[in-house]
This record gives sequence, structure tokens and C-alpha cells, in this order.
Amino acid sequence: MSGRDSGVAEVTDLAAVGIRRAGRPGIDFWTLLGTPAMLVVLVAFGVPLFMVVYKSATDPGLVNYTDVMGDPVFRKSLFKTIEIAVAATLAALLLGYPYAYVMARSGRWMRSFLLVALMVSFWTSLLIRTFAWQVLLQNTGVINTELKRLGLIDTPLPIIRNEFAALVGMTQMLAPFLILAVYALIRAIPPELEQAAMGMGARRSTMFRTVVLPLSMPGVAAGCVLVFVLALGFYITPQVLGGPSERMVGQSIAEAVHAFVRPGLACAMAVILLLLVGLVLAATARFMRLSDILKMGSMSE
Amino acid sequence: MMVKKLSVAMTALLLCLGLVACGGDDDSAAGGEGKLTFAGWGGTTQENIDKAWLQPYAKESGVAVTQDSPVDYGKVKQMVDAKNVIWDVFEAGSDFGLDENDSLTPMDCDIVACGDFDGGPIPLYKYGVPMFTFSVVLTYNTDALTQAPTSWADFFDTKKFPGKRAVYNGVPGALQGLLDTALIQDGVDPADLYPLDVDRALKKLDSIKDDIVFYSDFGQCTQLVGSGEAVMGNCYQGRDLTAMDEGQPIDFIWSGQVIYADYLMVPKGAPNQDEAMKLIAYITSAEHNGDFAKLQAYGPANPKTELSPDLAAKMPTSNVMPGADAPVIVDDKWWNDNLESVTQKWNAWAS
Repeated sequence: MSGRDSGVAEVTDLAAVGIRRAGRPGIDFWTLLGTPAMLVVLVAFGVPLFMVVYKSATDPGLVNYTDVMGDPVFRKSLFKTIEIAVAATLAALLLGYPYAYVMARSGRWMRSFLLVALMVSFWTSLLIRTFAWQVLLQNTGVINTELKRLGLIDTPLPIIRNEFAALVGMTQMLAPFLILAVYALIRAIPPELEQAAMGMGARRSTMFRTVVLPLSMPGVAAGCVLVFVLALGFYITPQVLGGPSERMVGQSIAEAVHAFVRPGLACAMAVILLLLVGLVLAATARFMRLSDILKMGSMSE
Repeated sequence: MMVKKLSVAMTALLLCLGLVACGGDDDSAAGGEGKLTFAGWGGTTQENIDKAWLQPYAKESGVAVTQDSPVDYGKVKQMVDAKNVIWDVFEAGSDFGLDENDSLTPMDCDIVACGDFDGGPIPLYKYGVPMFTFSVVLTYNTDALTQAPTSWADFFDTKKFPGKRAVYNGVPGALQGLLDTALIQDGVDPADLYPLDVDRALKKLDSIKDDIVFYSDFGQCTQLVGSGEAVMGNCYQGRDLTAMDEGQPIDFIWSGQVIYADYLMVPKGAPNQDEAMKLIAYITSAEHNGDFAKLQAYGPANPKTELSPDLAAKMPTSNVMPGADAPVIVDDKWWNDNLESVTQKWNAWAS
């Protein structure tokens, strides 16, 4: 049975469960518990979302969309946004996966240390971290000043106000999301599986490729989707650390609201960005069952 | 019987509503006759507005003044469109559109002394009265430059003054008058600036593009120049003065300063319009308009206001130089009409 088939089967199972539950008299405990949250999501997210879509097409009209797509700067920023989001996702994956693996498989002290290091950075305000990177990276910043003092460079390294700086900052902001997602999955893989594979003569690399990697894929997918989607909406960090070429859609949206006072135009931009996110999820669903990604939380228990 | 029960219920309900309404009032009303809500940009400027104008006015008039921040043009428009206006007076730049604006209430010149502004450097508009002035000035790092620049010509001379230039690239406004300045340095007569030849201005800026460091928040300008990350920048004179007081290696020149003003406006449908006009009349009166300058280096906009000489030395309107060094005042109306197209050109150029 292929992965997609089992997905269909699972959906049918769930539907059957749903029907069975619906048949039961009275209200299910979990439904009751979830109702306030669902209402909050509906009122705080569903309604505004509908208003954004509605406004994008009516304030003053569909001209918002032709204006947005006719603007070369916006088109450029849309591609740049995707490019930076993809790059940030890859960077977060390359740095985050090993971190998560080590954290999941190391002893108690090492794990605590890695977790605390992660959390301290995670809980520090995004603005503070962004400006801290600026202090490190700028021409008169810590790195360039030190390298100059040591006589290693004459002119400052180009590590500020460009895509590199924007990526460094965004990767640091976003990697924790991926690390936590992957960590939860790897922790759920019984170490005995790895021992069994090794015991049967598999090399470490083979064991990793055939056992750990496939089993942790839902976490990787969940982390990547999360990081990618969050990266699409980034705004302050690329503006402070990047140059004017690293213009993200978020900046265009802010400009449409604050400067042009054209909320309809901003809504159209937001809808386009949202469609983009939808496309990414759809594309992911081709390789990965979305239910696996969403299920990740329950597997980690 | 039924009717009586219903009326009791209704009375109870009304009582409850009344109590709720009173409860809401208790927070703001200090027992005076009127009340109003003022919104500013926040930060130290708003604290000083409170000290210089709002508190004395509340004491004098008995009106309870509530404050909010920050101002957001989008928010004003949304409030007016939704007919749920909570601000009576707000502070904003003239780039919000002061000649024509569906979201604003016209100034009441029976209450506000509109005549005071005739012939002054800062115009009064149908929908706004200027409250204070500040300016964008050529700011430089005194450690990094061996000789001091004397005019904007030096800003464009990267041979004589090598190093980075900090240039504003945030939410556009009039781009700090940089296009106007570039055109003047390219030989355009200041009297013939408008309509702006944007392409020509950008071409002039091309000559220093490799040396430009863009900043998006006004505080960054002083920080970039103060740290030496840039040797020059187009920063606000008020922030420069603060940085100089802190001992940062910064100085600036008055030549070619771009004078701006912040305006007081009243949203359409503001709940306390009469009180709003009275507060605006107080703040912009010749007698009180200079009170703010004692706390922060933003000068009075009312030309009839008089300042002590040591205060005047720091104010844009007291440092108007003649001839080629004269101040630049951007044409707000033109900018409002062309904001989107200019911003597109600028963004295409900058990115």
C-alpha cells in the first residue's frame, strides 16, 4: 500500500469515527473543550481573513490586483521574498537538523544545555536580536573592527546591508522553530531501532539514511513549512540587516497601508502572499501527507 | 403583570448600561466640563507635548485630555470609514493631505487664530494647523572628516569627502527633501523645483549611489553618522542636538536645511470637535506655541511667537540662511498628488 493510499484510508477511518461520535447522544467532551478555541479562530482569524479578501476586491475594486501585479518593484519583491524564504529554510534545516539530532540523542546535561541555549535565544525579542546582529555585522561592528585590528583585512567585509546579512538574521530567528519540530519527532523514534540497525551490521550512515531520516521526515516537513511560511512574512529583520535590494512583500504592504493609505492595495498584496502559502502547502502535500505534518504534535507525546 | 415585569427588566437593563457608561467615564473625566482624546507619535516627543501643552491646557480649561499613540494614517481612515472615531485631535505630517482629505474636519478659523500664519514660513491648510517645525540637515561625523562640509554640494562630492552617506529609505513621505536637494545641486533654480523632475534627481543621486547607506528609521541616521558607519547623512536637527549633548562626534550645518512641520488635525466625525478646535487654538496661539521649544529643539510654527535668543539658536526658523544656502520647503500638495508614482520610481531606483 503506498503512502497516498493509506492517507485516503486514514481519512475514511476518521470520517467513520466522526460519524460514530456524532451518533452518540449528548456533546462529546473534546468537542466541548475545543469549541471556545474554534470560536476564537473563527472570530479572530476567519472573519478578518474574509474582510481582507473582500476589501482587496472592493476597495476600490479589482484594480488593486492589476496595480499590484503591474508594479515591477512589487513583482521583484515577491520573487525576492520567495528566494529569501527558501534560502532561510534551507539554512535553518542544515543548521537545525544536526542540532535537533544531537539534542535528542545526547545525555541529560548536554540536552539541557542545548535546550537552554535554544530557548534563551528564542525568547529574546526579535528586535533586540536584529539590532544585535547589526552591531556584530556592520562595517564599524564587532567582527569587522576585530578583523581589522588583527590585520586580517583592510576594508570591511561586505557582511551588512546585503542578502547575506538578512539571511543570517532570519535563519537565527527561524531555526528554533525547525529545531523544536525535528527534535520532537526524533525523540519519538525509539533508540532501540537505531541499535537494532547497527546490531545487524548497518553502518552509521546507512542506519541514519534508512531509519532515522525517513522516520523524522514529518518533523522536517513540518519545520520547513513553518519556517518558510513565517519567513514569507518577515519584515523588520531584512529591512534592518539587508540592503534596499532585499525588499520583502511585508515592506510593500506596510508602505501601502501607512504611506499610500490604500488598505485595499495592501489587502491584495496580502491575498497574493496567502495564495503563495497555499501553493507551498499544496506542493508539500504532493510529497508529504499534510495529516502527517499536523499529526506531528501528537506523535511527539 | 407581564408589562410591569418587562418594564422592571428594562429599567434594570438601562441602569446597568448607565453604570457601565459611567464606569467608562471615570477613567478619563477628571470632573471637568469637557473631554477629548489627543493622539501623537508617542515617545519623548509626546511626553514633551504633554508637559508643554496638554497638562497646562487641561489645568486651565478643566477639560480632561486622554492620550493615545502612535498615529497611523491608515488607522485614521479606517476609523472615519467605520464611523467609529476615537481621536479628537491628532498630530501628523503634512503628507496626510491637508488641502483635500475626506477623512478630516476643516479647521474652524473662528476659534483658531488662522490669520497669524499669513506670510509665515509654514503654511496653514484647510485641514491642519502647524504645531511645530523641525528640519532635515546635513549631518556629519566630526572624527571621520578632516574638514567640515559647508553645503549640500559637499554631500555629492565623494572625492573631497570620501565615505558613506546615510540616506532615508523608509515609508516615503517626501523622502526628506532629498530629491529637491539633488536637483538644486544639479543646477535647478530653487524657485522652479516643482513639478519635480524625478528622473533628473535620481540621475544626480546615481553619482553617489555606491556610497549610500540606506536607513529606514530616523533614529538610525544619527546612529549611523555618530558611529562612523557613514560620514554624512540627512538627519533630523533635533536628534542631532540630542546626540551632540550626549557627546557623540556629530555636527550639522543649517545650509539647505529642509524645513518640515507637524500639523494638528481633527478626524471627520470626531466626538468632541469643539473641544478639539479649542485645544488646537491653545497649542498654536502666539502665546503658547513656543512652550514646546523649551523642552525639545522643535521650533514654534506660529511666526508671532517669540523665543529667547539661546533657544532660538537651535530652531530651524531662526536659522534661515540667505541665497544658495536658503532652506528647502517641499511642496506637500505635489507630493500628495504624486506620492505613489514617485515612490515606485524611487523604490525601483533604490532596489
